[in-house]
Amino acid sequence: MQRLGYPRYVAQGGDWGAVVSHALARQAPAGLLGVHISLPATVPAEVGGLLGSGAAPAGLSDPERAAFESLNTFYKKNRAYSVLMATRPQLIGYGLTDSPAGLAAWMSDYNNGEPERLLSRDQLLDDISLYWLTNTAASSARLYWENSGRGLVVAAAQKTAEISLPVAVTVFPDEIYQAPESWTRRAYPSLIYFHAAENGGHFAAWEQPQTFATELRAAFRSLR
Amino acid sequence: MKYLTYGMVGALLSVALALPIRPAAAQAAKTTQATAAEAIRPFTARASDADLQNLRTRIRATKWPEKETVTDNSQGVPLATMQQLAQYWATGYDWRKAEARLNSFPQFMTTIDGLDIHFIHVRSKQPNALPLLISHGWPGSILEQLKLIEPLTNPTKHGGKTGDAFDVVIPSMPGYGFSGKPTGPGWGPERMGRAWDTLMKRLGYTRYVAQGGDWGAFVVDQMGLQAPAGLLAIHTNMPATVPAAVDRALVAGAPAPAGLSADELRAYQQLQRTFKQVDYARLMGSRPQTLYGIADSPVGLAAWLLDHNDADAQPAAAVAAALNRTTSATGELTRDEVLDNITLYWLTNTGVSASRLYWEYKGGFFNTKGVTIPVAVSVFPGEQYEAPRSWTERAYPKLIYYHRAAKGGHFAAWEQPTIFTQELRAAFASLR
Repeated sequence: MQRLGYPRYVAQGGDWGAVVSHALARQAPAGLLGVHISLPATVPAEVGGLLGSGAAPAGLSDPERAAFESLNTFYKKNRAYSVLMATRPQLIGYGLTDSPAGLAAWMSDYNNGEPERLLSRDQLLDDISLYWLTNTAASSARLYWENSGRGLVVAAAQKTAEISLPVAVTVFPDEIYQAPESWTRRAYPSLIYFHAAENGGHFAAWEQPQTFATELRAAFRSLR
Repeated sequence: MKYLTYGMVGALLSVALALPIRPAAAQAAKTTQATAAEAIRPFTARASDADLQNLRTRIRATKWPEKETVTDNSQGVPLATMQQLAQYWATGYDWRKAEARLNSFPQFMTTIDGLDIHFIHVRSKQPNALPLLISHGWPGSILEQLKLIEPLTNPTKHGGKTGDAFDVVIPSMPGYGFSGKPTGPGWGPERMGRAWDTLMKRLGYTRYVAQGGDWGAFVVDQMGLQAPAGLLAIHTNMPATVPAAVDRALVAGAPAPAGLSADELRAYQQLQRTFKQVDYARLMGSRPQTLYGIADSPVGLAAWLLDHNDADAQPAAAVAAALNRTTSATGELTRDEVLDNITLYWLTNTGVSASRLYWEYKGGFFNTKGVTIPVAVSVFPGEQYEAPRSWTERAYPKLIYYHRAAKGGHFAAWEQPTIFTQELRAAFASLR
């Protein structure tokens, strides 16, 4: 952003983009006014340790319980791709690099096949083809390895408490989990915006660009 | 006699359920079909020239990722290792040698529980041979046990006594090797154990023993729980001995519980290491069908199969060392043998079907199962963990043999056939 000549700017991120945006916000470089996160890291520490293992802890509100259940299912049934990429990126890289069908299946199997519902076939294939043509299956997996298994949705793992810059959060209804407002306020001490959007999933910007644009306008209005 | 009994039972059930009894002709046809399926049909392995050429063509056309960003195995099998192996696999490697070696043993096919089961069956020429079924694992196959067959069936020519002879039965699990692939869920180790008992009975054996490592160990533990008539004992080289409370701590990623002996603590730490190296199993256990890359890419398949760990490294140190060994005067694992196993998975297209076994089985890997029939255990130093005698005696109350072998790892039979043979002779000596 500096190189492009911007003395002030904001940053937005979802999925790994959220992790990068968290890091940017913690680094708080001169000029960064705030960040918008579409996959917020709000799971409290005492809950994070239970994900994938068993029953929800006692004392959760309904939205908190729903969030736990979504993530618990994800951890139990659908998360192995990320664990494998985080430990053996070169290994999985061979089959994903050499086989178009292998790559397509791997990328489609995200979150129990959810992207298929909200993205068109051509959109999905554009994305897969980009990975294929740039030969980035292995290199993209290495990001998981570099991250060393730090949970993307756990507040402590993303060190959200260290962020003092303004943070805006949009919860999209078909994201991996619906971040409850209670958890979000606990995680982000300088939350300036929290809104549950009408539509959109894990690839919200791609699936619902109008909604996404509306969210960003609203999220950053107070920083203008 | 068996078919008449089925017929009578069928008639009784039909009456009980108020269903029409099948006419005699249809019943006779059905028993003829049953007889045909249950027949033991000779089998010869023969890959087509086209398939072998296609394999080489695909290997040569491999699209490669760039090199890993580390200088060790910590991201998976290194690029240089895979490229060197691929180079040989596509040129000098010859599957026909493995095929000929396999075909030098009598092989058969029979249908059990709706699936074709392929197996090697060698009867010893020596008297009082003990029938022995050997059950393989993943990423292994029946090829791991080939070097055992001669010493087990012909002991006097291989450092043993006449009384040491075995008849050997080596099946491939459903979804592996030349066996049929399940088309519906349900083929976990429990069902395989029942199928193995059916196989031994069909071969005419009224008493036998069963041996297994890796998945084979899970299968024989299940056979021990099923305790079918005629199963005298099992032998395992990957015993399930971790006490329940300790296993809960282990699976939860907790520190070792208090009060463990030195051996038990070491075993716990070894398994903590193992649990960090089995993410492939988590993937196969949850999304086996997603692994299209290992069906479509020879190199993808080879890397996947190579990355299994042992006590010393991931990929297994014994297997990695084999890749640098073109021959061995002392019977150590060679590069060709490693490729034979991978090529078998490739030619039979069993990468994905083999993975489904992990999806089928929801039980624990190393926790005690409650087997009460006689059990023999061999502890190999390079296995996932060195099962302490204390845990082993508790896990297997009728422990008839416990021995720590001098050498050998996770693929004990494959790596150390002589030691493995000695273990089996000693393990079952008390049953003769």
